Amino acid sequence: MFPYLSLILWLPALGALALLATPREQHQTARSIALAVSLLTFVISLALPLRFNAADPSMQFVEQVAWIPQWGISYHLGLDGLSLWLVVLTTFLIPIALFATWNSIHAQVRYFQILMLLLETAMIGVFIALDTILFYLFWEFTLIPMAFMIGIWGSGNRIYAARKFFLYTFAGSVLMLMGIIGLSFLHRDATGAELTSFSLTQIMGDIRTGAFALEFGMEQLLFGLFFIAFAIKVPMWPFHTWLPDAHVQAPTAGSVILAGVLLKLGTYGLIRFNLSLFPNASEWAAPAIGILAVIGIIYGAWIAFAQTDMKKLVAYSSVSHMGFIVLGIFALNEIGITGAVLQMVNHGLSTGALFLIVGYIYERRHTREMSEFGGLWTVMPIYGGLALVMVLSSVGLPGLNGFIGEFAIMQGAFISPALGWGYVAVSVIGVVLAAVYLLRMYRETFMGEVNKPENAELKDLSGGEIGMMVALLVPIVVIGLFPTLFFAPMQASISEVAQAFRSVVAEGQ
Amino acid sequence: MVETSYYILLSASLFTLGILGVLVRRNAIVVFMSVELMLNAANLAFVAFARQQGNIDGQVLVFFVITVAAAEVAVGLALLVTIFRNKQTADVDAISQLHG
Amino acid sequence: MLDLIWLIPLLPFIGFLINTLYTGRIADVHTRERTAGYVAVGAVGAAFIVALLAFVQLGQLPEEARLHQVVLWTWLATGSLNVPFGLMLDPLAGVMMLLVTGVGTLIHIYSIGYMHGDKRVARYFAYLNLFITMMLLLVMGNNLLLLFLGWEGVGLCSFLLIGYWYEKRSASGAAVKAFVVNRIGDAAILLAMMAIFFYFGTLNFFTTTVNGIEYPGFIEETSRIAGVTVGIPGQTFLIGTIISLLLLIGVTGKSAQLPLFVWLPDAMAGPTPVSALIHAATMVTAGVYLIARTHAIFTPTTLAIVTWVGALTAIIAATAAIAQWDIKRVLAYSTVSQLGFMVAAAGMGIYVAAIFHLLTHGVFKALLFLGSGSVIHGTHETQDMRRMGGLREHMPTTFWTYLIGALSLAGIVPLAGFWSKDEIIAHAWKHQGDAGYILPVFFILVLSSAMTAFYMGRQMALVFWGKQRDHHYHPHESPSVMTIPLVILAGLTVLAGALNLPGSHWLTDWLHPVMREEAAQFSIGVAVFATLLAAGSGYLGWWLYAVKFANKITVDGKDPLYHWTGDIWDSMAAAWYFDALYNSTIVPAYRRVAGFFAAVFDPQGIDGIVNGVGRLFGRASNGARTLQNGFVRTYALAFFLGVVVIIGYLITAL
Repeated sequence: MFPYLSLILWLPALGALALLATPREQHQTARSIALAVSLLTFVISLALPLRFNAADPSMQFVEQVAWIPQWGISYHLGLDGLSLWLVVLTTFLIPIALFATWNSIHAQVRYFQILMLLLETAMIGVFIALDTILFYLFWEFTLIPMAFMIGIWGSGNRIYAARKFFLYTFAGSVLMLMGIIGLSFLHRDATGAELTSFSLTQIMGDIRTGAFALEFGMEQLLFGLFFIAFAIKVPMWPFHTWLPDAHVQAPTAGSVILAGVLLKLGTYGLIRFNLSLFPNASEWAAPAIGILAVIGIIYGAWIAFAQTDMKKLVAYSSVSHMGFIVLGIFALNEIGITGAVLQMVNHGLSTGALFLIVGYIYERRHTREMSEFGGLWTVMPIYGGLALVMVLSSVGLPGLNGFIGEFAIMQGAFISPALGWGYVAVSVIGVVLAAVYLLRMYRETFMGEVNKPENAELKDLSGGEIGMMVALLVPIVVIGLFPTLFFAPMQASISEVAQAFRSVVAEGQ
Repeated sequence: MVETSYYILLSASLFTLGILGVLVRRNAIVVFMSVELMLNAANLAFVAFARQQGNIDGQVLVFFVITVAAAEVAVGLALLVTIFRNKQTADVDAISQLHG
Repeated sequence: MLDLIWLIPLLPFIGFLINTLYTGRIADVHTRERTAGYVAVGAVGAAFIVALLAFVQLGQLPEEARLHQVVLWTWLATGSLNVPFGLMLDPLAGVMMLLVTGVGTLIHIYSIGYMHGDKRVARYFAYLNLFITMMLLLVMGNNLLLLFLGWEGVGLCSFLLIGYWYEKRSASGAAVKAFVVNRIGDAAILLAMMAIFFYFGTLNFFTTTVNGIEYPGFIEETSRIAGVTVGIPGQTFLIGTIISLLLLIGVTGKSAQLPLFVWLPDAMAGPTPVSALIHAATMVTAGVYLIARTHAIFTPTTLAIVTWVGALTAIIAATAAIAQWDIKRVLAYSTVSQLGFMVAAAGMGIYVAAIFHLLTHGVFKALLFLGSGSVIHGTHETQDMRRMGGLREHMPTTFWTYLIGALSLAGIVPLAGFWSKDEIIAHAWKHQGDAGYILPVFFILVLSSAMTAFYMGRQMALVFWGKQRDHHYHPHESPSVMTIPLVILAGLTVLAGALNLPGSHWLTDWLHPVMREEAAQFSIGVAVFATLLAAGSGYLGWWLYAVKFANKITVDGKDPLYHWTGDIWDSMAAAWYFDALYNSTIVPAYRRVAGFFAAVFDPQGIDGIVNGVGRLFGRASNGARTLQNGFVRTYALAFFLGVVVIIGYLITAL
């Protein structure tokens, strides 16, 4: 078995090492190497969906090497339907983000590329790690490059934002570490094994077979420890306030990755840990979490409407969209969870694209205030057209990707006995509000007359910029029209997760 | 043969003197000497117990302590000299850069 | 041929792609304009021909077999959810599809003349083609989700075309308003879809076979929810009522009914052919189509509400239409009013009559809008009727065709509008005993149709009679590329009544497999009464403005009737202040709360707590910091005390 996962995981890190050896002054070399490495990683990662066996619900491409055998910690990688598209999304967005910085990052170029590649390794690691300690290491390691990216290449109040980002998410993850350790010790005691095991597959398997049954109070506690870590990362209302700060200060590429992949670590964790390990507590907590999710949907959309800074608007829209994803996850059925996983990919694509769109205009005008613009569609027709498609994708127009995810999520929540139609009836308002704030932004910036002389001479997108947009546009349309291509590989793994809740779901129908 | 308890009493007195010296005196040299006093109080206790028990482990340990103390004196005095050169004083309270 | 029905929406989509990706890049302005027009017309024309062939083939099938489905691929499949991307052709979809492609082709041709010289014409035609695609998906989708794709897709095209001249602030505002108001209705449809899936386990209209597996259709299985209720104890609702009410909300959005009709008058900011195609003939009728398609779900409770919504919309919009000066706004409110007729008809359970009126209205309202476009074109972008007058002599073709359209709308025998409207009114009269609300609805509808005749008489008089009141322009007849579609539509307006004449009732028979309705009974009494009333009020409207007040109408002046009606006239002109109400309550409240969240609650409330926790730790560590005073002897004391404590513990513990 060829070690695809290790290759994809470590190739970017190796690229980062290679970059250390390049001369500090040769910016172009650094950019080219980083882009080449990330593109190569992407191409290799395409082998994953091609060689993936959709019928098999268990982990595939598994690699396991003992690491600290005394404690039962191993280097254990694997991929299932849940993580497949998220890995591909990561390898897909990194080259785009790197390419987006080609002309916008001029200081310490080499270090930026190094951090980006390290971040890629860390993020992929989170998605494919099957050992909880390994997962934790990658999880924490994603913080460092991102915090530096915000702190060094950010704008304005960047130190504050970087520190807040780091401390806030770190505080959550420490709780998760407690949960990880506690889980393994409880597992050792329950199964009577000699050694602790940090293998996620083993613990999960024992929970599913009933060999490892948690006391309900303990299950609630562990659920809570993991949940807080993930909820901060998602971010769920009311843990969301680090997000607008981080986004506004981060450089464009950082925002793309932050919204595109980093937030998904949280929702991925919710499914991988909370739902799979603590089914009873998940059912217990689902109504309350559903309420938080719905509040997030409405609140994020509402507050986005009042923003004047385009980037902040998109950042708050993420709060709203991520609320949908959490709602789908805690529908606790196949339709909802599948929709949520697809929506993670969708959000990565559309919001990534929106951040790029804001980035393009920021590079040209060095402002993101909507009042500074108007009539951009006339000056930059290609830009206007592409921006409109991305806005519509984010609004959730049928035929594009966002709708598929949102519909599956809401349908899942509607038929879910844990949530039910009341949640959907409120969250559907979020669909209306999405149109309100995004079209308002589009109207203010792209429609109307060109009333500022600075805007009259703006250059339309370059070939490279169009290329990036088209690269994002293709999956957006394909998911919108042929979502089954993406759903099919997820099915087996997700129905495995939903299995634990199936008895309850069946009663509801 | 003198009772072991007398040695211990002497050792304890020396140790207390040493502690008081460290805590009360401000001159670094004196503090330093007080530390030596404490070390030697411990040495005395070691030797006394070794003799009482009739094995030499305690005496061996004393040699270690003497060696380490010698090394410590060397490093400590070197530090002191450097500090005195910079500060023109051997007052330990003057060296409080590490306060929070 | 029937297996090739996917060509019908695909052809205009190809036109859209060509005009988006290729035509816009042609450097030469004239070539670009010509290519865009030809591609668009060719695409829609070809779709019309395919649609016609398919329609004929459908007609050759035995009546009960007139339902053909083509599943192109599985669109969405996860868990128990399985939605095909499938098209279907049945008698109802057939007539809708012909209306869309037929009227669509004429309006495309007309647009070549109307949009001549516009700098973004490739984009215009691309939007029009996309619209046709989406509208066809809407009427041909074999499941609710695909219908919804078309439903939102036409909303998008409407947004794009209303905002076509987006430099104008009013145009972009109207575009966003149209989209958002529609979305409110769409959200309700989303909920309805989910409820349908919940209770039926399918979104297909009819049984569909995909890859050899049969998936049921919910329309055939409405018995499954018969008598099923939800609600709190003491107050339960039939599931069917809830689902159909949600669908109704969607209909009020798309078909501009109370209380969501406010976007349609503003939508007139778009180019006039767009108003004809989207905001009169096709898109706005989608709601009526939806009710007809899913009528099996509607319960008597909902149908009563549907009837009232339709009737009230009809009268409110008719009164509003009387008091407008803008030639297009008269037609816009008239459209709202006529849609009210269709919805009321659907509410009364006469779906065939609703569809009949939908079809005839599609033809003659397209004619009227294109005629008004011709007037606007010929008077150099004048829309205010006070600045017109006497155009009869300058624009003869436009005048005659417009007259036919106006008479048809007013309901004068034997034009199409008479037959379809009469069917609705006659039904209300004949079935007044069915339910208590039918009789008042009858009177409302009769009154509305009298007003319809009145405002059309007024409009004819203001535009074509009298003397030209503003001489800043020299009126001229439009080119033949614009007048030929007018003539064709006028011809159709004369003939379209034949679709469902009393006695032949072809449409009732044709739609029988879908609607299972008996032919409507013709009432000569009602017909004579309605015709006389329409002729009388139409003449009154014409006489008042062409003869009596001919000299009192001045540029920017008040309407002569204002003298007698005063504030009522203002209320009518403002469509009874619905728009103003929303703009003064919901919109500012929404803004204010958003501002509060953004400026106070989020940064100071939620983030305040977060930063507060941070500050708390900061304070605490500030306190702890002073312990580290830097004095070696303090540390030594701490060591010493520590040793004492440890030894003390060991001694006492041992």
